[in-house]
This record gives sequence, structure tokens and C-alpha cells, in this order.
Amino acid sequence: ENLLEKDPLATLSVVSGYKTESDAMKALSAAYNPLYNYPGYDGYSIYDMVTDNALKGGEGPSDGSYFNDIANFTISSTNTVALQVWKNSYLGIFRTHLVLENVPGIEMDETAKSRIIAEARFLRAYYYFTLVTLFGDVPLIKTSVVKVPEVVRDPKAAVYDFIVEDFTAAIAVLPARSALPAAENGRITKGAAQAYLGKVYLYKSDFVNAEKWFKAVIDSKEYRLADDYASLFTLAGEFGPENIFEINHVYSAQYLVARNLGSIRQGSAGMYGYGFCNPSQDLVDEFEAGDPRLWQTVYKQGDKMPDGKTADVGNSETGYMSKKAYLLAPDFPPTGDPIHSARNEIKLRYGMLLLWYAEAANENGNSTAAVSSLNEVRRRARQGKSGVLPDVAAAGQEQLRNAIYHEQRVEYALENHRFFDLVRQGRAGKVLRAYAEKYKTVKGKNFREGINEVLPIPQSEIDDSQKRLSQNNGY
Amino acid sequence: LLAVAFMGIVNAREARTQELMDRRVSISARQEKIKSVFLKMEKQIGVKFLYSSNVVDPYRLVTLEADKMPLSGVLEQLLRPLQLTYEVSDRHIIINRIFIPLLERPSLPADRNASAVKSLRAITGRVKDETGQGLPGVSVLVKGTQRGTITDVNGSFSIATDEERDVLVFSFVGYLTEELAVDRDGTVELTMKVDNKSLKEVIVVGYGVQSKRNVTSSIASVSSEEIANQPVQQVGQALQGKVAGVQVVQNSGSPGASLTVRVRGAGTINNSDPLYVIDGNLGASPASVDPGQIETIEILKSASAAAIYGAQGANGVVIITTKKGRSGKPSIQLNAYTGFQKVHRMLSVVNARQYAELYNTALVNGGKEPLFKNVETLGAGTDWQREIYRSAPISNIELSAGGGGERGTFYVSGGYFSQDGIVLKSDYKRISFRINSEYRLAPKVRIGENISFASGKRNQIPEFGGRDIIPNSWYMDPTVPVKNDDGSWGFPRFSDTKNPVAQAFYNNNTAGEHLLNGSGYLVADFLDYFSFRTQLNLNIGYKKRIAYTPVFDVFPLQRNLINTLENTTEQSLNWDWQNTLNYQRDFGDHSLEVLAGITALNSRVESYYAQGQNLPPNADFDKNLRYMDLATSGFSARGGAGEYGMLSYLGRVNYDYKDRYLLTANLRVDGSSRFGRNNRYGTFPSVSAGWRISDEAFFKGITFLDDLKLRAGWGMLGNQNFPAYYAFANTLTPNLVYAFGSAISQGQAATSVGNPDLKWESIRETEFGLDFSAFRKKLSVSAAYYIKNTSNMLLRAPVPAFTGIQNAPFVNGGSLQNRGVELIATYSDRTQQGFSYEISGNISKNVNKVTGLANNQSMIFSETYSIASVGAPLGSFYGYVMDGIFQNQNEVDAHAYQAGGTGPGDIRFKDLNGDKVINQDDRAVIGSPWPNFNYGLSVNLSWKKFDLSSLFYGVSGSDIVANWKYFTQGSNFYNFDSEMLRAWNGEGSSNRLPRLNVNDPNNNFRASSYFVEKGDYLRLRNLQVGYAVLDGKGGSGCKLRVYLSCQNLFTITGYNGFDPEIGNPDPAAFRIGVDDGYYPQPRVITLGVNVGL
Repeated sequence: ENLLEKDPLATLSVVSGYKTESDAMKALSAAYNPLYNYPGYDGYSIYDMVTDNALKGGEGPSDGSYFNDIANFTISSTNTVALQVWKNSYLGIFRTHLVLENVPGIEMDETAKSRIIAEARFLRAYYYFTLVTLFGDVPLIKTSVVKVPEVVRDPKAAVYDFIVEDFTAAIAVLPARSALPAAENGRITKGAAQAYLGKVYLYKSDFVNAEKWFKAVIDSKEYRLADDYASLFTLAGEFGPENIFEINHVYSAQYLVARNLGSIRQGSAGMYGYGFCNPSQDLVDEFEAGDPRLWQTVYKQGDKMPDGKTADVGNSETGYMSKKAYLLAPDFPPTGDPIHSARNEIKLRYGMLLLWYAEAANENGNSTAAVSSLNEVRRRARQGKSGVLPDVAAAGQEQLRNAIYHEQRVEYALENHRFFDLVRQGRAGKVLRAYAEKYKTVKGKNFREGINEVLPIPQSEIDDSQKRLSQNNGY
Repeated sequence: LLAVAFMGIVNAREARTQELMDRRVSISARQEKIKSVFLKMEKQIGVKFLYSSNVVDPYRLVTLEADKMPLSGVLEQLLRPLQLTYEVSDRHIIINRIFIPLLERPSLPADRNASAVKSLRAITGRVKDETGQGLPGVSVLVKGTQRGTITDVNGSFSIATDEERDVLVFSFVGYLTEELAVDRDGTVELTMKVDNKSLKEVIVVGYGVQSKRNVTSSIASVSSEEIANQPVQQVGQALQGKVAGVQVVQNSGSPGASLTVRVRGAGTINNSDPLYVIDGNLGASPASVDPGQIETIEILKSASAAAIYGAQGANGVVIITTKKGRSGKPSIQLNAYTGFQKVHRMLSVVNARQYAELYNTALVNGGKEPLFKNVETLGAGTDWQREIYRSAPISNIELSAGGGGERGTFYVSGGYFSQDGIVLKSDYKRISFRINSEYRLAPKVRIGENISFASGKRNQIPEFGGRDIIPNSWYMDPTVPVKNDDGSWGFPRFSDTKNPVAQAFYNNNTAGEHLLNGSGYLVADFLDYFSFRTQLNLNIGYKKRIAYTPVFDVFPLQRNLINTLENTTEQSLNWDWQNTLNYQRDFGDHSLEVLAGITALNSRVESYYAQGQNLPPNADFDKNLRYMDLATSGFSARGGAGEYGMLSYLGRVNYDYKDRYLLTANLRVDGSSRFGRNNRYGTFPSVSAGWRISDEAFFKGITFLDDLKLRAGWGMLGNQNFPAYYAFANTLTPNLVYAFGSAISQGQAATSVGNPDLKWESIRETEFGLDFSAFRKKLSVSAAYYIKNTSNMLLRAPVPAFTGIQNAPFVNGGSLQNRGVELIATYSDRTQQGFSYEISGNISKNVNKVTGLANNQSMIFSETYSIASVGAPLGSFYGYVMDGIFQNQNEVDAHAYQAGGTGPGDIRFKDLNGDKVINQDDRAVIGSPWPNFNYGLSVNLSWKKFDLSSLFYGVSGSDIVANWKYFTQGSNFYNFDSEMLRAWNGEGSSNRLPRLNVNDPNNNFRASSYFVEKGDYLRLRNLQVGYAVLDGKGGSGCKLRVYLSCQNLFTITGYNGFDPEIGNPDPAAFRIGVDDGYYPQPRVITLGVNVGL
């Protein structure tokens, strides 16, 4: 009879998987793990490609045609990038649920336990925030066991409420960044949760609360702008003073999944890359004369790179490539192959936060704070250079708003935020169509208000749910 | 054994007879019973003497001396003095009397009265055969006397007697001997009955043998002669085109590649490979068997035949029986061939100048500057295909010896097969060894064993990937040289295609496999009717793979800056213990056979993986340095294991009445550890019946017909062959990592959920068939119709991603149907001039349809094209429907909206739902990878010392997705195929090929019927011409045949791609018939020799 009773070999059963503090950490690590798997979303700066900031690039026109469909607003519900982002976010949510349901029962140090739970709540909110900004109404799943026939799309507002709840709960428990030993770099801090809560309110156009939470980060004095703007995007700049939330990549021969592919995707073919995301002339022109950030953001053929190499932009459609994605020679992993890059991806940094704070404050009529914050960013941008990027003087709300919008565009260009900014600021259609008109191109032309702000719900998800999930308007 | 090689395929039976007569016999008998002399010869040379004690007194003492004398001579010496003669039927030697009539030859009927007037009285009569014709040559003997006669041409006889009443004994080869009491002066009219037993040709069925004549299910039998001497590495390849209803597809032409064998269509979404049983061993690998070692192959096609294998027989069973030794003088056989292989076709791609021209056009059409300035100077450029192919040798040698004595037999065979691939850096070598022997411990107890060992080594290049060496040889920029003048590798300036020659050059991937398949058995006969057999099979497999990536830097996308060694090993051990009890008894006209058995098996596999980096730089050139001890960094290791067990009870009843009404019933109960406790056991019954209608009285008049049997069967089978060992359990997936600080934190989480309610996938099949032979067995035909339903199919039913379940759990969801007909017909004859021929054709049609999917799922995708969708065949292609090319802007404007930049020259897709927008709702089934018909035709001829055999194989009605065109036509800096020279370039220029445009603003290359082509082909699979230099006659007894063989001489197809035989890299997936550029089948020309001593 023991012929037919086989205990699973080389596999752990769920029952025995949540017993110790180490098990709790394993569950948490698994919940962080999907942060590595947003390649079609984070890694290509696709939400710059969609806008006037960059063209798709790649080896040729049909390379990565799924990006074309997003960038040209011809996306269909079978687009693989959209599906990947959807799947990965829910995968993350599921794993946070495994933590939230199983870790409380483990006998272990209570401080460590509550911290793990708080991190899981942050992650859950982070994944939901990704979903809600990309898809609008989405199913709000709150447990690991899901009754599929009962699931429908929940209103965006309910999802936002849930996100706010999670971030708020996380803020109460998480340690400040200064309390983290180096070995814990990459674990979520109170500052990150506060910054994200502010960002959530900003995306909801709740400027009062946005201002409040951004202010809380500023007042915590945990962060400051890095002196050297260019160093932010290097291995040396990891976990620097400006970084609030970054995805921690390392090189490990055994676990290559911990690598960062983003840089190679946006590198030129001539410099070990795939050649995606070619900065547009329009972006280059947006920089004020002499803004040092311009050549720290893009490079062109023949440029001398900081590591001494000569730039080769390969097939770039515009003649430019993203310098923020450029991997310096000393930053190459031990294999010498950029595909295993250990460089982190910065998701939220103080430079962004100051400009969002400025935006919220300005909308709230607090122009003094807005101007001061805006100028703090411009001051750093000058990097000691005189006669460029003069301080913005106090001005009317509308004028200041435009100054902030401009600064946002250049300060964190090619960092995958442009499209979301345009959407939440209600000017995506206007800006994109103007671009199409100006450059006589199809890019931007097809943007339709009320439709293209969000992606279509993946068709397979509609099918797999027996059509209980509805499709977004216009798809 | 000898006949196999020497006579080729033609007229095997005659050859066998001749071969038998030539066997050497050594015997010394002084005043021994003739019975025991026969017995000695039987053991020595593996024949069976049949005689009636009326003809031969078994206790008659004889004296005989023979030393290595041919059997014909020995029989002559032994039998002639006894006034006996003999006839040979298969391996039976039938002893008969030489009739020296005591009377004169029987006179014509008109003279009958005249003879009766003579002093002796006479009995007269006539003997008829089963068709009512007079049977000449029948021996008629007065029982207990030496008096007798034979019948004349009309079957009439007359025999003198002076008794009141005589008992006459009528005997004739192939007929049952009859005794009849006749009164003096009486007249006899007798119809003799065919002796089926003496004609009995048995075939191997599961756990036993059965008379081929009385089989009531669909079992195809292929003899060694039919597959002999083909230059193939494993036996399945030689089956292609041989058997109706069995589809064989070579997954790749690369040496050592696997096969896809489908019996009556794909029965499941899971692995549809059949079960292989080699000499009763269920775990033995067909890859370990040299085709020369095979005696017969039986394929159990229908559920009613395979049900004895229950849960393992769902996809058909291939039973391979290897050669055994025979008593008598040892025989030695050598088979060898050597030859070379070449690629038989290349994809037609453009040269450098054309490439530049087409590219410039595509750029200009896309509103860009032309890239190539001096087009005319470019010339032909590099023909990348020519650079990766080569003429490659193939050879095989197989030496075997067999023999035996009073108590035992042995067969030993060793073989060495070596094949270089037609693509650089690919080859396969195998050494194999087999020993089969049997020993009689006691008169009724035999023990024996079959052991085989094979060791294979395969150097492999990556294939099946869309960007591997072979497809890259099409896509690579022809303006680039293989190597630059400075010796560095050429690389493309504008695309990501890797230099395929460099790809091959730096590829070091060696897979080794050692297989030990052993079985030992004991058979004990007892109580006259019982036979017990116990067999233990043990199979050990050891696989290893060494992949070494040296340091190289061709260009940024083709570089490796740190050398890396990867070692993988996999060990498998499975054992299987079978115990069966057989009872066989005839009760008058009733014949009954009952089999009962119990089997247990356990299968375990364990694997290890290790990686290391930074070996000494010399390791790039020196294989001896490629060991883990020399790696200095980048270490990584993994390992895993899996195990399952099965416990089964089986039973079978064969019953027939008068050989006319036939019944077979099987029952098997299987328990498997792969299912949860509640559904662990499955019961699989089957029943089949046959009716030999030709034996019925109302068929007597149809004289041309030899035999006609109608049969019908029903059976149920199970399948547990799905890719998870523990799908019932909730398990955690390890190594879901994240980095904190600079260290990796290993996470774990559930990625799927277990399903404790999983149960057997089950298959129910009903079939109807008929077998007939006519014109004295010159024509034989077999036909079958079947309908096979698979239900409770084990599949991963997609669950919405919002559940967070990464790998959908297995459920019993989905059903599938295969329906089909099979027909095989063979005609063979020999003319008076000695010209023999045999023509055999087979054709089969299978219709596959998915009939249900879990959760009311309408469709499951396997990558871009292949779907499982209710109502369509499994693996159907799905996509947009092309409707010509837009010739002008008016046509674009009039049509539904396709894309922002659609213009003249772009593909028009059908607006299937009529909503004026082309989107994902306008996709449909656009083709099926399954052929309407598979057919094979073999023609075998022999004349004097020459023989010729040929095998054609073809498929009709299948479709192929020419997926490579995505690259060769997509204007993405890949080389173009020659079709694009005729691309649309203005109104009316083409309604088939779209315009060249680097931007592809219409997304012309989305998955659509544009890529779907007809996959029909007819291939001359094998052609062989042989000449028997020595035929074994004369003193030496040595046989020598030489032959020339050609594999894949030609292929007739309309398919534009490389090879219409599209492999399936993953047998457990249904992505079938999508051509990404596979390793093509080579054309193989070999010269071979068969030597027998």
C-alpha cells in the first residue's frame, strides 16, 4: 500500500510552511518578489514612450509591437504587456495575503512580526495602486482564497480607500529609513509609505491630503536631494539620501532573477542594449538652455560618456538614447554582461516628491511652499553652474502650475511618470494631439479622452472569469 | 534470423522456408525413438515437427548420423527409408507418407466398375475442401495397415479392402486429420476441415500471445523484415508510413532527436505518446533498442486491445519483441551500413544585393532614408545556409549471435551507431548491447532474462527556438561576411540576428544517457492447462548534460564574458513486478483462455544541477578542463525528485466457438499514487467480439475468399500521464527571491493549489472492423472505424489571474473526440518466372475535435497560434483572416478600420463580426495541423538475386503556420525570403504579398491566415536496392547481401518552408505545426551489407 502513498518529494507542503520567524521572512520575500517582474512596464519606461517624451525605438519598427500598440493607442485587450502587469500585480497581492493570513499565527518576536505585516500591507497597496492607475476599476481581492464567481470589478474609489487604509496602517508601524541597517536596505520604510500615500492622494486630486503627506516626508528630514543628479542613476547612488523607494537589484549567479533588465532594454544596440525608448526632440527642446540635466538625461551619437566610452545610439529613431538607463562600465556585473545588472530601479525619490508637493501646495493656494519647493529642485539641478535655471519667482497659480509641470517633465523625464502626470492633470489629450500636429506623426494622434487614460482589461481575464469582468469603455 | 537480412522484405515466408532447410544439424542417434530424434532437431534449430501417429509411429527406432548437415539432407536421410516425406509451413515441418499405392493409381470413374470386378473389393469416394472443390493429394490410409492411396486431381480415390468394415484415415497438410468408418463397397464423400491450429500465426498482445487469426481488436504487426536496414537510430522512425492509424513525426532531423508518435490521433491535451513495452518491460526505453535487434513490433491501437494496460494504455501501446536464440547450430549475423547525409532543401532567401534593394524600398515606403548606398557593389554576399550545413557521415554496425541446446537458448547482440548532423556541432553516437536467454530448469519450468544496455552521447545545438542557429541562417544579413578580414566574426549592423556560424562554433552542449533495461522471468506450466509467469523488470537510467559556454564577444548581443559550466544529471529507477496466471483449455469446439494477474510498479527520478564560472581560460579549448573543480565563482546548485507508484490487477478471457465466434474481454484495475485517496483507483474494462462469417454455410459459395472476419469492440482506458506528480497536494514553491542589502533572501509561497479530487482521465472507444484475405491469401485487407472519446481530461483549467494563482491547478476538465477510419491492403504474388512482388498500401483518416473544456472555457491558447477550443481540433490555428491586399486608398476607406496607418499594399483582414472595426473579435480558426489523411505505400520486388523495396509516406490536408515569415517578410532588418521580390508595389501587382514598409503601420504581421500554408507532402521515405552475392547454398552456407539505401530521396510539397514535417518540441503541449525553423530531415544515402553464417 505504501506504493500508492507518496509524500511529495522536494516540495514543501503549505501546512508546514508557516512555523518560524524565518518562514515569515520567506513569505514576505515572496511578496516582494513580483517587484522584479514588471519588465514590460517599468523596464522600458513605457509611460514615457506613450507620451511626447520618447519614441518606442527597438531593433526596428515591429520589434516589441505590443509597445507600439500602447504607444500609438491602438492597444487591444490581448496586449501582452497589459496582461503581464495585471497578472504580476495580482500575484503580488496574493502573496501579501499569504503573509497577512499566516504570519500572525506564528510564534515569534512581536516587533518583527508587526513590521513584516506592515510591509505586506505596503506592498498590497503598492500593487493595487499600480492596478488602479493602469486599469481604473479592478476586482478588489482581500483574501488569498478567492471565490471566483463572486468577483466583479470594484469601483476605483473603493480600491483607493483600501489602498489608503493599507498605507496608513503601514506608516504607523514601519521604521524610519535612518533606523535601517545597511543589510536591510531595500526593505520598506515609513517614509516610503508616507510618500506613496501622498502620491495616492495626488492621483486622486486630493491635494490637501497630498500636501499633508508629502509635507510629513519633508518634515521627517530623512531625505534630501543628492548633490550629484547623474549619480542617482548609478550603482554608487543606490540607497542614496534622495531615494525613498527603490527596487533592490543585486547580482547573484544563482538567482539571476534579482537582476535589473531595465537598463539594457533602454541601452542602444551599440552599447549592449535593446534600443527601446528613444528620447524625443520635443523632450530635448523642453530643457531650458544650459540645464545640466539635459545631457544627464539623454545622450547622442559620439558623446563622451562618463566612463570614457564613446556613445553609439545605434538605430535610435531620434538620435537620442536615455542616459538615465545607461550602465556605466564600472557598474557592469561580474559577468561583464549588462543583462545581469545589479543597479536598482528608483521608483520614488525626493526630487519627484518635492515637485509633487509643489503641485499640491499650489493647487491648495499655498504658493510660497510651492515656489520654495520648486526652487529647491532647480537649485540642485544647476549643480553649481551659474547663469542657468534661475529661481522661479512667486507668480499666479496658473503660471506657477505651468512652471511646475515643466519642471516635472524635465526633472524626472524617462522615469516612467510622464503619462500618469498628463492624465491626472487632465491634459493628456491636449498635449499628445499637439505633439502629433507639430511633428506630423501618428504618435499621440489617436488618444481619445475617456478611453485611453486606462488600459483595456486583459481579454483572457474577462474570458477566464466567464465574462463577469466588464471591459473598459471604448475597448 | 538469417532470413531477415538476406531476403530483404520480399517473400519472407519463402525465404524463411529456404533458410530453414539450410540450417545445419548435427545429430547422432543409435536405435532411438524417432520421436526423440524429432525433439532433438526441434531444439537445435527451432522448428516444430507435426505428424500424425497414423503416419509415423513415434516409437519407431531409427539410426541417424549427421554432422553439420543441412536440414534438408538430414530429413531426406531420415525419412526416405521410412517412405515418409515432408512439407514446410512456417516453422512447422509436417511429416507425411510417400504413397506407393497398393493398387494401381485410381482409375477414372468410368473404369470404376472394372476395378471393382477385380478380386479385391474397393471403397471409393471423393474428398473436398471447405469450398466444395475436390481436394487432390489427400492421403487415405486404412487404419492399422500400411495400405493407402492418395486422391486424384478431382479429389477422388479408390482403395482396396477385404474387410467388412474399414476405418479410413484422411490426412492432408493444413487440414485436420479425419477418421471415417466405411462399409465395404461403400462410397465416401468427405469435406475436410482446415486445421487452424497448424496455421496459427501468433501475435504478441499484452501479457501473452494470441492467434493473429482470431484477434478481435485492432493490432498492427510489423515484422523485422519490414524495417530492416533502414538508416534510422530508433525503431519508431522506421514505422513511419507503415501502419494505418499510427502517425509518426520526427521532431527534428538532428541526430538523436525524439519522435512524436500518435496512435489514432492525439487523445489528450497532455502527453499523447504511446506506451512502449519491450519484452514485457513497461519502463524500457525504445531509444535503447537497436532496430536490428527487433523481431516484431505490435501496436495495440484500439482501446479493446490496449485495455489490458489500463491506465497506461490510453495513447496506444507499442509492444516490441526482441530476437531470441533458437536451438541448434549457433548463427552469426552481421549487419552494417555506412553512408552520408545532406540537406535536401534550402529556404530560398535573397542575396546581398537584393536584400539591400528590398530594404531600401521598405525604408522609403516607411518615410525614411535609404540605408544602402552602393547596392550594385554588394553582389551575392554570404549564403548563410551554406555556411552551417555540411555533408555528414552516418554508420551502423550490429553483430549478433544466437543459438541454443537441449536446455537453453541465447541471443547476444552488440551495435554501434554513429551519426553526424548535417548542421555543425551536432552528432549522436550510441553503443548498445543486448543479451536474451532462456533456460529450462525442469521440463515444465523455464527461466530467462532480457537485458539491454545502451549508452548514447549527443552533441546538441539549440533548436526549436525562433532565434536558434537554423532560423538565424535565414534571417542573417547577407551583406555580412562569416568572418571579417581581421579574423573577427561578422555581425549585423542593423539587426539583432546572431551570427549563426559563431553560434554553432561556441556551442558545447553534450547530453549523455546510459540506460540499463533488465528483466528476469520464470514460467511454470502445471496441471496441463495452467501456466504461471512472474517477471521482474528493472530499469536504470542515468542522464547527464554538460553545457560549457566559453568567453566570446561577437557583438553586444552575442557575447559571453565569463565562461560558464553547467552540469545536470538525472537518475531514474523504476521497477515493475508482474505475476500472471494463464489457463488454456479446449472443450470440443469451445476454446477458452483465462488470464489473471497482479502488477506493481514504482518509478522514481532525481536530478541535480550545478553551475560554476570562471574556469581557466584554456577550458575554452580543452575539454579536459571543463570540470566543476576548476570553477572559481558563480556557483549555484539545484536539485529535485519525483516518485509515483502503481498497483494493478488485470484479467482477460478469450473464448471462441469453432474458431468462428470469438470473444475477448479485459479488465484492469489500476491504483496510482498520483491521485488523492478518494480517487486513487480506476477500473478499465473492455470487450471485443469477432465473427468469422466466412465459415458460415451461406458463404461456402464464394470461392475466392479465404477468410472474412467481422469484429467490434468497446474499451475504456485511463491516463495519468500529466506533468505533475503531486497535483493533489498544496505545496510551496521555493526560491521566490528578493534582495535585502546585498544578500538574496529566499522566499517561498504557494504558486498553485492542489486538487485532492483529481481522478483518472478516461478514454472510451468503440470500434468496428473487418479483416479478410482472398485469392489464396494473395490479397489481405483490414479496415476499422473507431470513435474515441476522452473525458475528464487532466488539464490546467485557466483561473483568472486576479486569484493570484500562477499555475492553474489541474482539474478533470475537458473532453476530446477522435473519430477515424483505417484501411490497409496488401497484395503479393510470385510469377512463374520467379518475380515476386508485394504492394501494400495504408490510409487513415482521423478527425480530432475538442468537445468540452473546464469552467465553460471557450479557448485555451498555447502561445500565439495554437488553441484548444470547443468544436475545433486540438491545436487549431487561430488568428485574423486575410482577405487579399488593399490595392488602392478607396479600398482602404471602404473597409473596416484596421489601424491608424493602413494604406494600399497592406493586408485586408475580414471584418467577421461586421462591426467596421478589425479587432480581436475578428479572429477565427484559420487552420488545423492535423492531416485529413495519412498514407503509406510500400512496393517490394525481388527477382533472382535482386531485391528492391520502397516506402512512400504522405499526409494530406494539414496546415502549417510558416512562422518564420514573421522575420523574413517583416521588414525588420532580417534577410528576406525570395517571395518578397514580388511584394506589392503598386495597384494590381500582388493580391497575396503585402508592401514592404519598415513601419508596418497596418500590423500586417499579426497572427493571421497570411502565415498559414498547406502542409501536404509525399515523401519517398526509403528506397533500397539489394543484391544477394551469396545465397547460402553450396558448401559454405554463407550468406552475403549488399544493398544501397536512400532515405528521403525526394519530397513533393507545395509548402514554401524548409520541411513540411514539422516537429513538436514538447510532446506535452499542443503547439503543433507551427514552423519556427526546425532541424530538417537529411537525405541519407547508405551502402550496407548483411552477412550470415
